[in-house]
Amino acid sequence: MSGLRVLVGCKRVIDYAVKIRVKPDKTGVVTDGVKHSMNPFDEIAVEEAVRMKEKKIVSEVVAVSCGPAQCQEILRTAMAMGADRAIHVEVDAKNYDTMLPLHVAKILSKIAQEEKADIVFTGKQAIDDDANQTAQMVAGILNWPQATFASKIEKVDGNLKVTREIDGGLETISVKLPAVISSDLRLNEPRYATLPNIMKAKKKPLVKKTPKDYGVELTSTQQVLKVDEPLTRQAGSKLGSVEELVQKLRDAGLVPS
Amino acid sequence: MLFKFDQNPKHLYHQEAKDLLVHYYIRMSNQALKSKVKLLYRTLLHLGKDYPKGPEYFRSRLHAAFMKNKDLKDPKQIELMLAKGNYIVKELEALYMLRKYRTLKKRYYNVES
Repeated sequence: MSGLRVLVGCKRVIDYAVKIRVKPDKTGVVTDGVKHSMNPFDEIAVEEAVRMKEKKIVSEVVAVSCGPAQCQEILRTAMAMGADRAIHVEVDAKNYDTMLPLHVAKILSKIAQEEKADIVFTGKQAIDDDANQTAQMVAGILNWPQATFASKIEKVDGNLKVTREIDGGLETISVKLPAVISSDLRLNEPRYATLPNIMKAKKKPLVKKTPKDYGVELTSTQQVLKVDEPLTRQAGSKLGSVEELVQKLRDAGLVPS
Repeated sequence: MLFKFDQNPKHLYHQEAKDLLVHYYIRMSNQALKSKVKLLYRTLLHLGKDYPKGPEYFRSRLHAAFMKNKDLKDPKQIELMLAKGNYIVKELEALYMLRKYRTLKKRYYNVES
């Protein structure tokens, strides 16, 4: 065992397959009675951390989630996938509404220091707020190197060689440990948390904490003014003949008249 | 010839004991298989919660499929059915993984070859 410890951030989000509805008063989206699951990008991060453990690159995987009590289900899933233990930072529903990536980053950084983590691993972004900020801010707070949008990770001479997905191609970088990594979609194919493993995960240790334990005040610096549905696509129409089509295309200026 | 009068009675006992043993063997292995079948059912039921057409759609079909084979006694045939069920478990896991991957790819990566 190499003795490296990985901290994986797991966010509880509305399941990717659920149709999102905006609340009538436009203050947010409907979350009551809606299926939630682990953020898919975080799932990829958990999977990679577990694979690193299986390859004996790391020796312990710790899953962390910030949010309401139901986040524990997400942490159980992470442990069913292979994480060794979990830390739940409980934030009540009211404060969670105004919680920002910065708060999460502060908490994660503090935990990383307390747990003496060597790698902080998160998904590149969450599929609910799509902020794509947490990993970068953790790196900033800890002053650790960062390897974001990872699509391949190898350990080379005590450093991590990370292939990153960037616009129009791939970039390979080498980062010294400790480091912060965020996973991209193509990094791996996460395993399914099987029923027996979920049962076994119930025996794994889960520690409950609060943001105060890490000295983080959840004061929000921003306010949600309005949440709107995306614009609906305009309906098409059926045309009777080629002439009509050409006329329409001309009108739209898509073919020279 | 229906009866073998010259048959050794000792041999007869032997045969009976053997039948009894085979009988017990089947019962024992069926009992061991029973827990495997139950685990398979539970696993599939758990997987069904994520089924695109809804858990109830999946559950009713799952139940029907298991009931269809409820009278199977031959351990070999039960093993065969178990293998089929476990294959479906793997297929479902792959299906969910692929569905999630494709949805995310569509949502987040629009310029694709």
